Amino acid sequence: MLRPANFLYMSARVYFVTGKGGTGKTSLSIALTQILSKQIEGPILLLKMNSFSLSQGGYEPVRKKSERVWEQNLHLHRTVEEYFTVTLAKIPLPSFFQKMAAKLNEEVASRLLSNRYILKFIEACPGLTPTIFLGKVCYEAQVGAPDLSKPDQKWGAIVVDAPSTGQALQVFESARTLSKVLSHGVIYRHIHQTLEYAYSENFEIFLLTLAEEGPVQECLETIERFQKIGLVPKHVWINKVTPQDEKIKLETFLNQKDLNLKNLIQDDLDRIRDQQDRIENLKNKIPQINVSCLSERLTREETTPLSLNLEEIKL
Amino acid sequence: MKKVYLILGSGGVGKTTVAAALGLALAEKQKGALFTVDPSMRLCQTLGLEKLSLKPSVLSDGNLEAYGLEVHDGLRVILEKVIKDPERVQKVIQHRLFNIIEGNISHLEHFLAMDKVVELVERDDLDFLVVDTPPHDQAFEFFETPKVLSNFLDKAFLRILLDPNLPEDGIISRFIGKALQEGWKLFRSLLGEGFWEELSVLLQDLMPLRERLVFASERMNKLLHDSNTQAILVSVPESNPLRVAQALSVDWKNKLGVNVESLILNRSFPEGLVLPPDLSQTLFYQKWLTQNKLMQGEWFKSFHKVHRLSPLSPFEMNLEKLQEMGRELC
Repeated sequence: MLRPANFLYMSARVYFVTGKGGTGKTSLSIALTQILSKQIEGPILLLKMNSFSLSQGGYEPVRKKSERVWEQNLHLHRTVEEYFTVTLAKIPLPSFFQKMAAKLNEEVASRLLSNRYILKFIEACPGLTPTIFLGKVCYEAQVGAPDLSKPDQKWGAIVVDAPSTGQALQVFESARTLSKVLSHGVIYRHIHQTLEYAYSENFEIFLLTLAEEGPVQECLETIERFQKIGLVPKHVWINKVTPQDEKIKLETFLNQKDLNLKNLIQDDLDRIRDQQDRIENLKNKIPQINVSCLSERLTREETTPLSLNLEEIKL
Repeated sequence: MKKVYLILGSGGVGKTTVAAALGLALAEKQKGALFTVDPSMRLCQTLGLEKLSLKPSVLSDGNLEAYGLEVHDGLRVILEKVIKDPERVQKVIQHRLFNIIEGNISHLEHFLAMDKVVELVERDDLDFLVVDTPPHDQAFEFFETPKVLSNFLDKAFLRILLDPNLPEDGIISRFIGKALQEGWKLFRSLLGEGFWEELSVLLQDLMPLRERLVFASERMNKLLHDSNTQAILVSVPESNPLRVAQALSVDWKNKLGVNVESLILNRSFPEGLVLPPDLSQTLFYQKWLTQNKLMQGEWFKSFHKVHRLSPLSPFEMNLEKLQEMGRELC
């Protein structure tokens, strides 16, 4: 397919947020949409890929969250149906039939999906689901728009609230493997285009971690696995880092008479020291990647999902 | 009858540490096994081991066999076990499409864990078994693994791969059968005919895996509802992890029919602790306040036992401390 040489400039930048479970992927994704909506002109889309869940047919509903931010949950069946419809619509027809064909395509796509054998194949074929989702992300970045009747107004940026690292890596690994395996055909061509975008400078991978042994170890392994398939995460964020002034404050209380309490404070100070060691260690091990810390904040109100300080997030 | 302890919880709450502590403490009086998922390097060091693997490491004077999950080469390990003929195993591994399957079975680690657990449960010489479940926000997925995997290896699925004609699916389909047949052709051609046939050859060779899956699934189901099995939930006293833990316990009840009776609250302040108000400017104090507020929630009342564990200082973790922690839990 022919595309203008500057297709990257015309498309939305993708921020793909992943990390170990419980590191704050959703919080960072929401924070990013808020920051981007102040920096970028176009509408911002938050794609929630958090659960590879199944759902009914039809297009994914795009919901308006605020003046500039839109949100969409990814569901396998809907994404596939959309894919079929879009793909069928590309079959060239005389203009007289175009309108009728559009209706028919939707019908055929939904018919295809209502067949349990096809459905079963799509659900069960290894690697197909993650590939379809990556395709959707890159498709939205290039041609997606908040209002389908005004296709000129494209997304300004796309933030992907991706699943945890293992599944997120699969998204790229599957697409690569499938493209190797298929090696020709319509789907092969689409996967190839998807990968071209995912490997472009317009696609940034953000990795979240915590300053603890397990998460840091996992983060390093993830970076290694990304590098193995030729991708380098753009930014590593260490979340829930206890601010240094907490250490200074706590140290003044070490002269407690209550031994129990003194021990508790000492343990907490140990934990803070351990965090700092781990942060330094991680920074030294990945000098080629930006590493930033996000402070630990307590969310006491159950309703605020955001536990991040927006000012700490510099893109 | 063997006692089985299933340790549940989301990632990063210290599940593996709790499992290891419990195993060590139980091994002081009985013989048993500990199965951990994703053991940290420090835990291995504390246990005096280089690593934990699917081969047993013997601890506590031979009373505790410790295992750890390794996912590398996982599928090959299972294949060798299930398909007895090494030549056929080679044939599968060398199949051009094997690499899509190998890298993409997302529940593979779950299946490996389950397979080992089933094997350990069958052993008569063990008095107890402590199982650390894979860190998943929805641990029940772990127990649905065989269903997901066997779907892929379903015979009906294989049949449609082998037979180019689409099976008729009800009366309405017969009406629109012709149109669907075209759609089916289109769908297959999107993927390329060659791909289709290759996949069916590979799947046929993988069929023995399905029997093992069904077997593991039945055993696991029995284990879940056995009166000697105890599910223990681990969490930390922070609002987000507690929310996940809450959802998890509901899922276990509704989807698996299992009541989670005990909760271990790791990294928490001891009961009855009162902090002096001059600490109120610190995050430390705020955390204590948060914990107290959270602990007043209705949800805690649904547990038989709620046990609080103080945080282990990262510089002080040793075998003794771990055992002490376990004794407290017993």
